Amino acid sequence: MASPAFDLAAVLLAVIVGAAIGVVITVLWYKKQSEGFRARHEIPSLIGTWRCQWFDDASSGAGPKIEDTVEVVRWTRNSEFVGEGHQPQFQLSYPVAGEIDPSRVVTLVYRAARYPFEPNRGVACLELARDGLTMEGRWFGRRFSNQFGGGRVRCERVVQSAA
Amino acid sequence: MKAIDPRTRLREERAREQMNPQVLGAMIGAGATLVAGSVTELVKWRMSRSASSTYRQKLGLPDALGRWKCDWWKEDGSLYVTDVVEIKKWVKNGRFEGYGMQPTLTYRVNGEVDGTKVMALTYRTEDFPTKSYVGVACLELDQDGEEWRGYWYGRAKTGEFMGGRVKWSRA
Repeated sequence: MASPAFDLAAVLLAVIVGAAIGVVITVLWYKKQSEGFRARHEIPSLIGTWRCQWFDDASSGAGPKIEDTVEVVRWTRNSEFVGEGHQPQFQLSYPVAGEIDPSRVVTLVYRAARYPFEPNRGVACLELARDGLTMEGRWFGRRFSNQFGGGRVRCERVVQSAA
Repeated sequence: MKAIDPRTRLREERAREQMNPQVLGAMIGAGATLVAGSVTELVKWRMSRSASSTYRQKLGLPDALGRWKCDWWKEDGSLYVTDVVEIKKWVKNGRFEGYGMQPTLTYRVNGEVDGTKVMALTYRTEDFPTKSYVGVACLELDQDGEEWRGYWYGRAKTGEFMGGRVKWSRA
């Protein structure tokens, strides 16, 4: 007959294994659910790198105020995704989170790199083109200068050329 | 009724006695897993609530919970709609959840308030993605802490994209 210590160890091991299996199943479940949701509603993929131009209504010039790249890294739940923006001119990266719906409307929330101690943050709402290569819309938020404002935003998918 | 052979009964009883510790062990294991899972969820929820409260106190975040009367204007300055938004709960740190109510529809609101007293949120209709009435808003708390003012942009009921100023005041 097994000793009580062995029984206890077996129970503890069962709990740990059960918890680990639970975590793996949850992750796989969310992944599967997201795939199913996107396939069912024919939601186009946003995963990849986008070159974005951020125009400012307060700016007098016709050109964009900021040009950067936004990398959509992964789907989280249903049609929600997370990513990261990179601004080489200021050497900073900032987190983005968003969602796309079947009619190709993308809502996006971005934060400053040193959130919550920097004011630079806001939202954007864009429409993805039918070909899935561009999206256009508007952004609103508080600028780095602390002023509140907005403007147009246009993103273009960076297509990796085959080597 | 069919009589059971005493030898068969004895064999079954012995088998049961032999199985019992294994079955008991498995049941304890399964029960402990369920209890551990439930306790973990409860602790996570309590910690998340406590962490959100500490985070908000530390950064002096304004309290966004409650009912807000919201005026949404178009770009040309004309009033698009007036409705009520109810912020129900904090989710994590400065993030919150709520919903908006209009006579003919309800929409979900998810947002976040930060230390600079800016609120960034997205909204979408409850029956999303069947009918997509979706958009974003970014608002700033005014000096006396009574109203949020800012801008919204999104796809309206008509299907076209529109936006403008927005003002939230306590309902």
